[in-house]
Parts: sequence; structure tokens; C-alpha cells
Amino acid sequence: MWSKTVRVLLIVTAVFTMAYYLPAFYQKSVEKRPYKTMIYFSEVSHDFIVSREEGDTLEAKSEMKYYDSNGKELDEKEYMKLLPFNNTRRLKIMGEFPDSLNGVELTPEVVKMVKRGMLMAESSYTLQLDPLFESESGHRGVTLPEDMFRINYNGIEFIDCKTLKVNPEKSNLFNKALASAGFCAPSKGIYGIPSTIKRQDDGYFIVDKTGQLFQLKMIKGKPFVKEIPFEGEIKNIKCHSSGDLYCHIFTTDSIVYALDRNYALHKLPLENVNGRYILSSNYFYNTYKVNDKNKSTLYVLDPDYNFVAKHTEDIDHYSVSEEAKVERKIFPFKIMLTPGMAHFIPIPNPIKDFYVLNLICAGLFLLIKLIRRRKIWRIAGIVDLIIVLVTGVYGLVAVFAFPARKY
Amino acid sequence: MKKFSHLAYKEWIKTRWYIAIAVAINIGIALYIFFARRHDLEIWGPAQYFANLILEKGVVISRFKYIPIITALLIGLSQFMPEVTDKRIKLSLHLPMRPTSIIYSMVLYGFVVIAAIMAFSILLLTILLSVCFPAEIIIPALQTAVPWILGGFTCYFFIAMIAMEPLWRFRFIYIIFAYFVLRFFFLSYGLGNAVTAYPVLIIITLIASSSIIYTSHRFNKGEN
Repeated sequence: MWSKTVRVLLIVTAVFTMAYYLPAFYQKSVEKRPYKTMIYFSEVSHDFIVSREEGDTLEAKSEMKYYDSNGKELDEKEYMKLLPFNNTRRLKIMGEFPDSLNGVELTPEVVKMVKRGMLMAESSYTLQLDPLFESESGHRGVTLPEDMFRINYNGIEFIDCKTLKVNPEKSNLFNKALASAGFCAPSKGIYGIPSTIKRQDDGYFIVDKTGQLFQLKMIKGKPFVKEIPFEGEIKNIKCHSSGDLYCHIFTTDSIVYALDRNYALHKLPLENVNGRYILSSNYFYNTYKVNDKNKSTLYVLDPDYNFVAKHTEDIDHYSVSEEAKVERKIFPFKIMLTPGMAHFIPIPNPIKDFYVLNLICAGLFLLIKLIRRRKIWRIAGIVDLIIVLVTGVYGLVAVFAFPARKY
Repeated sequence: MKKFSHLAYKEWIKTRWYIAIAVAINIGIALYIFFARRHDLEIWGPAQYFANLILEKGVVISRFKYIPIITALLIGLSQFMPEVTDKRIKLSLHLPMRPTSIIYSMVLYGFVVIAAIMAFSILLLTILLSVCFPAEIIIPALQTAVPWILGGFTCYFFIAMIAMEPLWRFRFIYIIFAYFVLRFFFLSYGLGNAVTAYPVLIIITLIASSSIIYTSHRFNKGEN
């Protein structure tokens, strides 16, 4: 009895293992590089521009084609002139970079306001230890301190990196400032940029035990603590070291806020698809691109983060390819490891796609049993048949890799 | 209990030198990690090195990754290879104990030995690293090492399973199966992220621990 139970457990392990490796191996063997589709918003025409890769990616004979929102094809020079902040260097070399745009002189300061980045709603793992930089050092850049801070049940503690001892004076000073601002230790999350590669320091945004948001920084060796009234449960905060924003705040109910340097919160009119946004901003517009499996949507917001326009394009993706259709016919499901946190998640395929192959596998199983003159309608045989019917090729391989005893 | 101690003594005679090698490797790597991290702290300065670890999410004991599996291979192979190649297991199974009890006593012996070596190794690493690093750096590093240790145990259980398998063609299939299952324990989990993979990895380890019941049953019945 024990042997039979263990055999079923080993078959389940084999099915799990094959569901993790085989679909990934298949995809790697057949997947072609998808065609690129990009959406932009022109600061010149105040309209969308789409660039699509056309030709043969396999033969490396593809090229980018550019279209305006009416579908009219643009040549490369027209495209570049419509997007001066995306093509600054090339336009300058060609002598085509405009001196002014929409009545605004394009000074180096205006050009430098261009910012691009990736925003993730999921927080990644961080060590609960951070350096608190001097925010007003009087010189450009930041200097790494000799201590690191943590916030636990004792409140904030500054630990000397050399001796690993807590600095009681500094810790008490900052604890008093945090307590007087209404901070309740320990922290639920500490968000900031713990790197010295930044122009200025804005400290850290810290969520306390009750879920309230605070900013903590050090000015001339003294604590600066500011409570930031915020409704909602914070999931992640992405901080920025320059520009008009302190950070983007992501909530558990999939709303994104932008916190500007006057501590004003702007609720962004973005529809959360997968919690990943590609941010691109300049003097005139802020754009957020969201890529779904086979769709890409660009949201355009004005400098005050009000909605201007949005545009969606279908994009080439493996999931809509012929190869993916074949994959769904072969494998009933696959196991994937989520990026970031290590969750093994099963991704089932629609039954209508794979049931034929599963029935063939079950038929094959019965045929082999008959040829070998084994009894099928015993409990072990019926369990095997159910496993093959449900898990298809995985089950067929697994039941013969771990055969039932003759006895 | 007396029978078990006699059996354990038999296993001790087979494995003692390999246990010594495994302990030496574990002590050696713990000392290497300690001195390497001390050297890094000297070169970078403590604050800069801590900042590097925070930014890069570095695992200070990354060199320990394959030590549990090396330990498991040493103990497992030294214990089960002679049983397979010289067919000594048939002699063992004629001892005045139930065959299942004999086989499980052998596996229990190996498991206890590996667990003791791992516990000693982790304790040594923790003591040495706590000289240089705060708990905020050491605890996530140890959490990252848990899949490696579970991988070591799983490797040992699979060695026992494969050794008991009477047919070579199935041994070959189980070696491939074990290789791909063991890869789950050594995926590139980020610092601290492995915690969410623990339930799946623990279930696989528990299934692997019982896998010898399946092949030893085949062995006892003399399948061919």
C-alpha cells in the first residue's frame, strides 16, 4: 500500500517537473523574435505616432516603418522631427533640432528634463538596512555615511558599520522626531534610493505599522520627518532622484499616484494591466506605456498629470503565434516561476485545445497495457488512466517511468 | 534499538572517512567565506561594502551553494555504492530485522549524519559572519541557503532510491529525473525571495524521503 502511494507521489513530482521544463524547452526551440511595435506621442503634432517593424525578422531583413494616427506613412526624417526629445542627438547633428517648441525655448535645461524609466507595482526584496544620507551637504551629490539604519520594534537604530554597535544618541534623536510626527514603529516598508549615484538626496519614504506614510531625511545632521496624508494601502513606492516627482506610489487596489516635490498627490488615470509601466516624460507631456500580452497602450498626461489621450496597438507576441497554438495542443498546463518572488504557478491551457492529445495518450496507455497483458481495471491501473487523461503527455511518460508492480 | 545501533555502526565503518572529508570541506568553506568577506570589508571599507550588498542584494554565503549537495553525494555514494556494486545489500537484508526497517535505518543514519554536518556548518557560518555583519544581512543569506540544504537532503534520498532500483534502465531514468528535480533547489532565487518557494521545495523533499519505499519494494520482490 505504502509503495503504491509513494509511486503516485513520485508520478506527481515527475508531472510537476516536466510541466516546468518541457513547455519552456519547446518555446525556446520554436520562438521567433517578435516584431517591434512602438507608440509615441508627438510634442509637435500633439498626436500619436506608431512605429512597426516589418519584413522578415528571421532573415534579419526587417525595417522600421513609421505611421501617424491616420495611418499615413512617414519617412524617417519626418518621424524624427515629430519626436525631437527622442531623437535629440541625431536632429542636432543634422542641424534640424528646433530652437523652440510650442512657444517654449528649448534650452539645455528643458532638454535635460527628459526622463525615462520602468515602474513596477510589485516591490522587490530589500535588506532592512539603509544608509541615511545628508540631504543638504552643501555640495553636489551625496556622501555615504559610516552607519546604516533599521526600524524595528525598538524604533529607528543607527548601526556603526565597523563596530556593529547601535549609536544611542543619534538613534534617540531620530526616534524623538519620528514619534513627535506620529510614527509608530516598526516600519512596514522603507523606500528610497540607497545609492550615492544621484544628484541630491530626498531621504526615504517609510510606511509605519499603521500604514501611514512618512518622509525621513537628515538635514545638517538633524532629523526631518514629514507625515504625508495618504488614503489606501501602499504596495510599493518607486522613488526618483531628479525631476518634478519624489516618487510613484502603487496601492494594493492597483491605483498609481505621483507625489510631486510640493507633496501634492496626483492620482494617475492608468488602468493597471500587469503592474509594469514604462515612463517617459519631458517638459510637455508625461507618458506611461503598459504592455499586455498582445496589446500595448500609451497613456498621455499633461505636466499636471491630467489625462490627455490614450492609444492601444496590437503587438506581436509569442502567445498569439502558431507555435503557441501547437504548444497549447501538446501541453495541458505549464508551471512557471514568477519573476521576483519565487512562486511556482500553474498556467492551465483551455481544455478544448489539448483534450484530443490527452485522449490519444490515454488510448496509447491502454494499448501498451493490453500488449503487455497487464490488468488495467485494478485500482493502480485506473489511477494511472486518470493521471494520463488529466495530465496528457506528462502523465504518460511519468506512469511508465514509475511502473506499477507486477505483484 | 540495539539492532539499530549495530546497523549504525556498520554504516559508520563504511562512511567514516567520507564523513571526515565532508566535515573538512564544510569547515574549509565556512572559513573561506569568513576570510573572503573580511578581505572584502578591508578593501571596500565596511560602509561601502554594506552599501554594495544593499544595492546588489548580494548573498554573503554564495560559495556555500553546492556544499550541501557535495556532502550528500559523499555520504550517499559511500553508503550505497558498495551495496549496489558488491550486492552487499542482499547480505544486509538477511540480518534479523524486517527488510524495510533495515533500509530505513540506513537512510535514517545518512539523514542524521547530513543534518548534523549541515547544522554544524550553518552554526559555524552564523557565528563567524556575526563578527562582521548585522542580523539584517545574515538572516536573508541563511534564508537563501535553505533551498540548497533541502537540495542536499533530496539528493541523498534520491541516491538511496536509485541504489535500491534493481534495473539499470530505470536507474538511468531516475538519474535524469533526480537531476531535473534537484535543479529546482538551485534556481537563481534572489536574496530573500526563496522563502516563497519553501512550501514546494519542502513537499518535494518529503516525497523524495519516501521514494526509497518504492524502489526497495521492487528490490525486495526481485523485479527484473
